[in-house]
Amino acid sequence: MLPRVPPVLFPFFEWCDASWLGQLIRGNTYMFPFIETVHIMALTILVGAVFLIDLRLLGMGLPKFTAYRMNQEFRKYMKWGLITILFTGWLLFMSEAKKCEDNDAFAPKMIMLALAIILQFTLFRKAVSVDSPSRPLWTKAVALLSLVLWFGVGAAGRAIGFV
Amino acid sequence: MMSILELCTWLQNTQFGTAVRESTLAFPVLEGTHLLGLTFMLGPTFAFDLRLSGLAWRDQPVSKIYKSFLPLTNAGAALMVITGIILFWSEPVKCYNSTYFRLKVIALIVASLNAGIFHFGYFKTVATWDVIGSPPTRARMAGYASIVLWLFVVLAGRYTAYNL
Repeated sequence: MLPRVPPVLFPFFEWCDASWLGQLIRGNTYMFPFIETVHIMALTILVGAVFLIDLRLLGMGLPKFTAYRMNQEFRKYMKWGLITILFTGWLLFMSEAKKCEDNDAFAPKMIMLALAIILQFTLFRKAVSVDSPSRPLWTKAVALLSLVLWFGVGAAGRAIGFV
Repeated sequence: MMSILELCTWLQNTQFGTAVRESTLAFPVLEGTHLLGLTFMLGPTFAFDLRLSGLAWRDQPVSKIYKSFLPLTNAGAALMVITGIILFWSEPVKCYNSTYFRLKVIALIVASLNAGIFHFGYFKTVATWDVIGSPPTRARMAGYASIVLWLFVVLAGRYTAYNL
């Protein structure tokens, strides 16, 4: 009973699939894996940074830095990691939009991605906005949810190739 | 004395290798873990390499970044090695025949040597250049090389997966 892409979007998916950009990426054997590698590297940076900050919020991980401090240092990388991953993700989508229509993992991934991004710009931001040693329960909950969502996006992304 | 191809064929036909290869769940989970494990291994590695190359966090001592990130990198590397070995074990002949897999292995060895030689060699002198924004050339070269080599490992790995 997984969420599925609503059929009303099928024409849009098919338009993307047939577009010159989709065809371009499909046309060369090396392009998709190359774009996918950039996608994965961006994931390493984005999820790596979020992961380290979430660990601090949970009271684990690298003790030399606070979550606030880490967020200050990593913000630039998280921003560009997110931009890169969304851009490359869109390129990958364009090249196989039709396959995504009834792929079991695609809609769940998009839903988790949307939730992860919303969380990132709201509660996560709030949780790392104060440089304080105290760790209220809500920030721990935010950290846990952040981890589950981002790793869920990663796992669902991998699953697209297998389901 | 077996040839490498003979060894790969033997591995492929073992019960374990066959079981992983034919299981619906094992291969996807292993490969997924291998990819997500990159986050733990390469994230901190790149962070350190960026500092070593003088490209980021120039106001932080090199040794502080090193001590902060190394434990995570080691745990990530262990995960990569374990999942990598099992993945290889499940289709050794395909890997043997793949040009990109061979390049990946070479790059892996060079990247590891680069890290090992630096860690046990020049890095011992870190106290003398710890707080400099742009470390000495040897350190910077090790940092750049590391970034380029690991990026190539990931790229070659992806090309292997797509049978290129």
